[in-house]
Amino acid sequence: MKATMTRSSKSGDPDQAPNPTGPGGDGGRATARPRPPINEALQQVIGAQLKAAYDEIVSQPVPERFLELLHALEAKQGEGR
Amino acid sequence: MTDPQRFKDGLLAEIPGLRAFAISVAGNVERADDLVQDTLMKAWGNMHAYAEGTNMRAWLFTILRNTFYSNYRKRSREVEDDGTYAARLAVHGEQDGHMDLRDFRAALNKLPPDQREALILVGASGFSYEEAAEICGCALGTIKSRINRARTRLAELLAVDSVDDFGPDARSHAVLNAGPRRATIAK
Repeated sequence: MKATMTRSSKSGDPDQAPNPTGPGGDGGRATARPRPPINEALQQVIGAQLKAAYDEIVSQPVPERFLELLHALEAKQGEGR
Repeated sequence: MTDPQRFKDGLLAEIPGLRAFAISVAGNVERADDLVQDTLMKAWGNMHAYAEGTNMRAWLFTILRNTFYSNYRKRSREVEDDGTYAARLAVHGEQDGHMDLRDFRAALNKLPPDQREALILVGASGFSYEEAAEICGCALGTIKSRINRARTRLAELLAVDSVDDFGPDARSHAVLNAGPRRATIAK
């Protein structure tokens, strides 16, 4: 648990100007994006909710009126031949 | 020549997806189902124009969307201004026990229609950006930017919603709870 805290206590504000030289010798891992921005996490939630809201309707049984309609269209087609 | 039996089965399989998309563009379930019905009838009437083996979903979504914009848009705007759309969907959510989706649906309803449509086609209906662009009759870049704006706006709306809960919308949810169901079979 303690180990995870080291980054934030060590290097203050990560939002400062990006290191322009970056020779890659001084711990390249930390210069990559430290964690996904909050926005990215929120976007995942939004994506999941969008699917959930949609799937809730998709999973409903097909209303009777459409079954009747297709049946009627098909019957009419048969007659017309 | 399209085989009517296979064509019918194809239509049947797409109805759930068409309804879900229709609700998002038409504003409420009743109007959406009328729109789906019109779409199915048009599709049937244009069976000869459908090339078997091509993307029937995209074809049907295009018909649905065109039908909406030529016949339904004016009527639905009145409804949207009412907040009925959000309320309708909220009732839906309640029935299915997905309470947290109410906030989401209300937020979705606040998006401009073109953004909502693009987001749903790609994010929920499962179309590619290219297919969505074709369905909407616009450029690929337009679809991409609509989706980006939709996502940004939703993120803002949902972040706010989680703080101040439901806000003024809550009233309309309570008022418009149960209405008689209309059952029009054919026109």
